[in-house]
Amino acid sequence: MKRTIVLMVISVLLLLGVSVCSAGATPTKGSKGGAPLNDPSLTPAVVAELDRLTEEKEAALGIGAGGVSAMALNKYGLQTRPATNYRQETGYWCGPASARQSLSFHKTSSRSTVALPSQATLANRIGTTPSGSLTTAIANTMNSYRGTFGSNFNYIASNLVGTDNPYEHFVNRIGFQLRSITTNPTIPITLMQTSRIPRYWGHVSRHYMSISGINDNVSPMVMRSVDPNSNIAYYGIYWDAVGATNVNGLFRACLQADLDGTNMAMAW
Amino acid sequence: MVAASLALGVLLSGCGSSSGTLARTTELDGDSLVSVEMIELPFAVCNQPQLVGTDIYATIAPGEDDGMSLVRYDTRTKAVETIVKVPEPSMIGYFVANERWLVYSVGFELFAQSLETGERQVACDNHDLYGPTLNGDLLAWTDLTPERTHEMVIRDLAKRETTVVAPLAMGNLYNNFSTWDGDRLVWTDIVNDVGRYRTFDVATKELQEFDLSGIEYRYPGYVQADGDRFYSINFNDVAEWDWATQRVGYLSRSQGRFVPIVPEGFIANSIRATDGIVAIVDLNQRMTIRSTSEPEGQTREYQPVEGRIDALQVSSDGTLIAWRDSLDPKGRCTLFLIRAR
Repeated sequence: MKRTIVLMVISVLLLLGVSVCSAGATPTKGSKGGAPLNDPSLTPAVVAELDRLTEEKEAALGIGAGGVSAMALNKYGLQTRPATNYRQETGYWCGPASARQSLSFHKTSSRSTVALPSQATLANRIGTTPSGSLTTAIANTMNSYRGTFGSNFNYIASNLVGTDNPYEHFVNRIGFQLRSITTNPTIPITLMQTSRIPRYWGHVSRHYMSISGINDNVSPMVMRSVDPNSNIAYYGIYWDAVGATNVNGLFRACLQADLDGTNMAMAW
Repeated sequence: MVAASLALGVLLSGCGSSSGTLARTTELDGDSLVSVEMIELPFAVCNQPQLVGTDIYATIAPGEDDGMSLVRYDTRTKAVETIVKVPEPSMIGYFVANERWLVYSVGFELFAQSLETGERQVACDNHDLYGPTLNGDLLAWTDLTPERTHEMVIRDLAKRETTVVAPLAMGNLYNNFSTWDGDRLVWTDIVNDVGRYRTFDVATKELQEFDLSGIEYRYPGYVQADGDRFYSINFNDVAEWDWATQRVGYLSRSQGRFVPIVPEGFIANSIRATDGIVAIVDLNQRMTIRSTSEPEGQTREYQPVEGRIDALQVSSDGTLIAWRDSLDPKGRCTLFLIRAR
């Protein structure tokens, strides 16, 4: 959609005789980004299968049409799970670093003595390039560690756009995974447009982080971000406001990242 | 080049502090305080817009495969010119501008492009850096050294010289965003568990510190300066930073105390101070403006724009820019140019 808008703008400019300069070489040093906009692996058949798996998982948890509502007060209370914060080792390894953070929970809960894979190993398995990571590949890589760090988790790559209520799906997917009675817990990994997170103070980037806590005992509802950002201004563990469609916070940041391209919003 | 070469006079001022008592918030006569001009840009989402003369510069949200662009929008002709384009997945992380320079970051590089000549220089190469801010030819930012420590640096873009102003004791978290108050650079730090406001006067090379010991919300961040007052969002926990546990207020330098300007429990998503006003966007994205010359204890506020405000910026001429992106991908973002009277 945005591509169409940009093309329209450029077309109008060309019609008006306004110069559009490509403005010199693109810098090549440093990071390119945490996540590309689009996931080329998403054929219609793959999307349909992921939608089916998402609905199946949500139905099992009672999320979605006829299911629970995030609007209910104190539905989750304060829930946290231990996930170790790892700083990403390159500017574009937020995906592998987030995967390692989430795996640290499964290692702890499974009492596995196997060492956590390095970020480099995870980057290799995910197929991370200087363009970043794909959410589908993160979910698949997480699942490849079933049997190593426990056997009771199953990550699904899912979108928010296209659901009947993106906010409800975002909160409930995370809330259910973190709640102690959940039988197949995960530490969701979310793709964010960071300019929508207040503490980023307008900084623009596409970035993965793990979510290891939720607290709806307080208003506004907050979630605990385990942020692997290589920029240590942002690296750390934070309780961030969830926000809403028109209110800045984690949900709006994830929804914006989802709106911007086909790379999926979350592995949960 | 480094701090040692500067004649630094350090003044440590241990300020007393108070939680202050808030009067009931009342409506301020906004018409006498600010003027508001509305502009729509032909993009649904924009980032970090800056007003330079009659032009708006902004980075626009990425489109599929089209990358991200820094554009100039002429408010008179409504023409749009693309100044810089970076292919997907690179993004323009930070952007600031004034009448002389466009400064933007891509990855770990920080570029400064002269508006006069179009010449571009690499202001910072392959560093972690945070929150660049401009004042004439002077560009300041927080830099991460190879030794993993943080420093506040200033680069004279005309002379192409970078000078380290001071190290930061706790360079992560919310201390990485500096601001200019005239020729004085202002930032925050935490030393020995005490939050501090720090300043560097470019003319005199003098460093000053103002500490915040003895109060609950003693870790200031995102500092904004206006005259005698340093406005900030203050926090009370550095272990697990909780955005929802904070207090907005100002340090009165002359009185030597921190004065909250919002009730307990109020949560700000953004603040900016300029030319006698301070704007606060709350958790519901509602913006209010206060006068920075209000007597202590006064909490009169004014809402110059109804509805949601996504973010705030201050342009080099002092104009406050508040804007809201369109929730419709085919819509237009709306900018409100707010000028103090």
